[in-house]
Amino acid sequence: MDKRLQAITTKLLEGKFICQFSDPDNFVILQDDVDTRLKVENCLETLGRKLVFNDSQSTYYVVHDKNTIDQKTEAERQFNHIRQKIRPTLGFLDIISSALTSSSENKVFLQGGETIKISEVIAGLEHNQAHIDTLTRLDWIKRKDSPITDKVKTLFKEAEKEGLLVLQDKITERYLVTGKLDVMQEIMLFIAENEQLGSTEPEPNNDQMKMQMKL
Amino acid sequence: MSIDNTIEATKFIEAIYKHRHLLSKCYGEKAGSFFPEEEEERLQTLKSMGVIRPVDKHMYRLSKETRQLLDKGLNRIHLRDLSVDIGAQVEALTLSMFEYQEAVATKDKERMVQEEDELKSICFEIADFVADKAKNIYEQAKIALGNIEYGQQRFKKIQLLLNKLDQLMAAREKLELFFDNEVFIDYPFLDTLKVRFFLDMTEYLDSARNLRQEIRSALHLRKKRELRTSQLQRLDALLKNDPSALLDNARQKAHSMPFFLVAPSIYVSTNVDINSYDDELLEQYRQTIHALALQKPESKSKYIRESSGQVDYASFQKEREVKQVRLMFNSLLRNIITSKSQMSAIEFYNSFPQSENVRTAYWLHYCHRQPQIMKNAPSKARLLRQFTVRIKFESHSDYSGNRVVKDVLFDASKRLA
Repeated sequence: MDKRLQAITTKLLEGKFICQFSDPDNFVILQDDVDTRLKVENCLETLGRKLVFNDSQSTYYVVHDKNTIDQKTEAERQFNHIRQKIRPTLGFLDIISSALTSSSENKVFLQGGETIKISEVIAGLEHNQAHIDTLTRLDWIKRKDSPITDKVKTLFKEAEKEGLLVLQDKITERYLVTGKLDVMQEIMLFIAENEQLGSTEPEPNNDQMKMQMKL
Repeated sequence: MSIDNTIEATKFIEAIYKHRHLLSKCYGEKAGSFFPEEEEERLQTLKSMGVIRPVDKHMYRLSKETRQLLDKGLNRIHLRDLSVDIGAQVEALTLSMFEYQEAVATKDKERMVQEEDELKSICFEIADFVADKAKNIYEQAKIALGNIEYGQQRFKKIQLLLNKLDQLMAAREKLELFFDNEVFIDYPFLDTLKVRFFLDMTEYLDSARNLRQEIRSALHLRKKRELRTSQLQRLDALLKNDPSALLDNARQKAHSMPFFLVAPSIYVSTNVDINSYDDELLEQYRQTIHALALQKPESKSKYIRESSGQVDYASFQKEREVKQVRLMFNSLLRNIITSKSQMSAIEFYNSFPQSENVRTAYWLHYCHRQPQIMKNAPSKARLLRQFTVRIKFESHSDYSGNRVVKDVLFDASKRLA
């Protein structure tokens, strides 16, 4: 078996995500090399699995083939699993955007492909007691009495463990946001929409837009 | 505003004007500029006014407020320049064109040539000016759009660049209106000039137009992200108020979203199905493992003392064995170094008078491990460099890669020769 094919299939079967930011080589192969992609799909098919990508087309992952399982039971099981992760993830997104946004600006949550530094997050939090209190209350922070630097580092480590961030530069402690965070946000938006918590569509714009630009 | 305030404001502005060179140097270097000691007094004055702040010894940078004020002012000037300059240049073009028409009417050839040159030069100047502005905006916008660092400030900048591009487009319209004049058809020279002028500008204006669309798309997506964020914040608030919320509506529709069917992980260790009884595959698997074992054999050596029956191996006996093995090993090294020859650990063991207190297996384990320990100890590594150590293995397991030590050869003959 081709080594690339083997690496990609193994990664996907191990439940890992192949995103354009943290794993650009394999992502490009899946996107552009039709032959390899077909082979991967065939290989997954024999195991009752299917290759899919998220709405923003930044990440590939593997799901059950609909014909091989009881969809509703499986979805229910997965929903319960994801349900536990929503609040920690939202807490993480909220605290990071609070740290990096001035009070007069609208908050925008992180997105795949962006980079953040631990030092910048610390600088954005350390002079605001309300932000520090929010940070301390987060589920991922177990040691509530530790200094703010440790708390922020713990936060980043947990996000890295969840596959939402990858360490890009050890010296400057710069992290890259992965496509898995995009997937997580899409899931949470699906839940918010179905719980009728408002729409995400801005007013139509005539100039908009053939380009699939990411910002 | 009171008179006192007016006087103070005047003094303040005068002081800033007086030290404008220092300020522009600070503006140029965001992280802080270095100044010679003789400037210190002037810098202290500016510091007391809150215009600059120190970052290190003899290093100053602009205060946040001053930088913001200057940024605002500079951007306004930039925009104003664009429309004023285009206006001025169009006026110059109009004037020059009238003069050209007059020259044509009076059939004054010398003047005609002069006016033609003048018209050409103005057109080139306008095209250069527009190209410069378009290029400048294009570069800045590309940097801002391509910047992947999370931050809000760049969107303010992008919005500002969009305003500049709008000004550029307005300038283009103004020029088009001007060149729409019938006079350009009546005079062949002017018609040719018009065509050349637009050819020169098209490249820049096209890129500027595309960029404008790109920026508008970016801002639209930004708006979309803000709305998504606020929606997620509402979900967060819902879960904060009711942490056990069942989210039933979403739960019922979960099966329609691919992610909720995400497959559990399978850890892949081999692609060979051992239970397949496919001899060819199993042989290939065996050979692969064998090759891997040869490539990187298991080198862990662990000595386990055998049990002495119901009572554990007496501690004093163990201590005596350890003491003895150290003595033997030191003696072995001394012998090799002094005789500058090679020696086998087993031969030495057999010839050593009190070797019966040490078990052969333990001696071999010690001779095998000790050089490795010495290698990592700075004080002993030097001694180890005096000879080479070669391990002879008795057997080699193909599957696990484990090896049994048969003998250890110490050789000082080559090193000291």
